[in-house]
Amino acid sequence: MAIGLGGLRTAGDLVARAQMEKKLKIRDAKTYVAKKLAVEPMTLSDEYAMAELRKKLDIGLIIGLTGYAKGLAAKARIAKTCDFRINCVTRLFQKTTLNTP
Amino acid sequence: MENAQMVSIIPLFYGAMPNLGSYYQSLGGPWPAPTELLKQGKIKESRETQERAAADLETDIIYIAKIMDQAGSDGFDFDTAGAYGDAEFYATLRAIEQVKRETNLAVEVGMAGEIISGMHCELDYQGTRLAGLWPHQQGKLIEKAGASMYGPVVNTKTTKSFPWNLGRALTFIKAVTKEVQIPIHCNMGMGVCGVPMSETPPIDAVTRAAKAMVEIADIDGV
Repeated sequence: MAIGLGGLRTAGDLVARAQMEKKLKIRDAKTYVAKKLAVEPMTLSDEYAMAELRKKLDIGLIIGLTGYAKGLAAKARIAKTCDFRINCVTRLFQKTTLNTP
Repeated sequence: MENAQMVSIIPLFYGAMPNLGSYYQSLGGPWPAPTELLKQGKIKESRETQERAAADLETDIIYIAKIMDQAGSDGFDFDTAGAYGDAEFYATLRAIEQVKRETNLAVEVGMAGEIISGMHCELDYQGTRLAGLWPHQQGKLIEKAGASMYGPVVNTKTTKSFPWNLGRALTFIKAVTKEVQIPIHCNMGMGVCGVPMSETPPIDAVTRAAKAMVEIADIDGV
């Protein structure tokens, strides 16, 4: 809490994914995520602004509001919005591909 | 892991200790303990048993990593790597290479201590001897092996004050952030990276240490 970006309250999970997948240092990871979300990097730490943005993009919220994407659905939208390759999302699409006759 | 991945949004890693000690007979493993062999003056045998245990450890790590990859894990965290010395660190580095080659997992490596102890002393990775490496040197090898994030450790000296320990930790971590190009998530638990050694470290010390690491050492996470 003392130094964190705010996790799911803000864009902490997105910046974390940028670091782990693309091996970006924090400033570059924030710039990357900010560009993908079309906001300024400073907005990424703003709880209110990010809550509204996450609702708009439907990429998961800290509270479970009815009708908004959660779990795998939210991660699938995050993968598309931020151009991440998320392992469980890839496997979901592999498992749910149906071969039509 | 599969169930957790279905309901979570934040990245979830599987974390495990590359615990070389558990491969020795003293802890129920198959190989003679090197410490027992060293007491008998059997240095060559001590090295051989560490090499065999390291090979088994590497095999087991990749086995678990593949299963976690299938379960949809976002990454694999090697926690407290190098606790049992240079042979354990060697197995960890080779395991990182395999995990990156054969799975889709991001890899984070958190160290056990500030220096790699020379239990073997003659193991090297890509031409660099592993015994005696400091955090900024460990990180370069972890980066070469292909890891995504590195968690250096600086041990807290319990006979010294918090400012003393924090200053020392910052000096080490500044060198790490200068030398290592992957994200640095330094370990800031009890007794490491400036945090006092107690079960419930004082929150004012923890927050000051964390802030200092961010603003002075320029870390990428904790």
